[in-house]
Amino acid sequence: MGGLPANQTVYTFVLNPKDPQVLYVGMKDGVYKSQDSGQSWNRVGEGLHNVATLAIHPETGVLYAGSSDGKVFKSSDGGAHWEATN
Amino acid sequence: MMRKNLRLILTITTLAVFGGWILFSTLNGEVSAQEKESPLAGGHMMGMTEMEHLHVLALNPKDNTLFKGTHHGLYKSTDEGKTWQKLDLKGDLKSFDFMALVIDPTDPQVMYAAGHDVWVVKSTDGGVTWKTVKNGLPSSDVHGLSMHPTDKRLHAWVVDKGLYRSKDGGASWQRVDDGPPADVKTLTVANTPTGMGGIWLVAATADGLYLSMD
Repeated sequence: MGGLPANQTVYTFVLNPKDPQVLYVGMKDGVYKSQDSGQSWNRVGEGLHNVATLAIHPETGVLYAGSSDGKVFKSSDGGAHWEATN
Repeated sequence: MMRKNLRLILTITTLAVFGGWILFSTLNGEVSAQEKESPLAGGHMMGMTEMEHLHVLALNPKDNTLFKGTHHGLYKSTDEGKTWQKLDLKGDLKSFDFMALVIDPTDPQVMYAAGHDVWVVKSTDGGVTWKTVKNGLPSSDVHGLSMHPTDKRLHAWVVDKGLYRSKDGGASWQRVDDGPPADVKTLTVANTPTGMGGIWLVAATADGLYLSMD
């Protein structure tokens, strides 16, 4: 049980509707992913910080992450890699 | 699906319960200890543009239009985030400080938003015109907002007041409970059956993830 850093704010949460055991949260130091309904979590991707918001396409699973400084990132591989959209 | 639900329930039953809200994932130390909390950096830094202070992204799944809610209004992108246009919002908005934004996935012209002094507002024209829908809400500072993708029920977290529900598209709101015992950043419906007839609500908070059934 666990895997998310303790005592830190979780700013945002999404679940993959196509595979509801797959969860993502956004935190100060990036995006964390669970593939087992939240029992264990791992940080995914590089270079993301202050992740204030996540959005997921309900069909394709494409993820968008927004950081508090206004940057938006996209991942088409379940959060493993992210590219800035702008 | 039933096995998944059971596993979720088993996972959470070992954790603390706060008035119907279960601390679902607090979290252990993969990452080195960091400061307990500071608001996300950048809120009041010099030189930031109006575009910044991003709080929420929402996606229209039918045409991939992205929306973002900021301290200074709403923006829209029709090219997957490459370029953004600030929306010229119409209607009876009291504030443009948006914290939450949801899009009806089956009728994406219908959108709801919330924020500081925003109450809850509803658009039926894809985010251009907004109407305040506050009947039953106790105050205007609404930070969390979620919509169930099929039964369309709404939940709103009102700062210092608790969790409220609307089953009629925002026309009226009823109080549910105090909400989780921590500042809610994002409220989400986990669209997976509870096995007990309700829906799961997940609150991302200053203390981690909380889970409740409604």
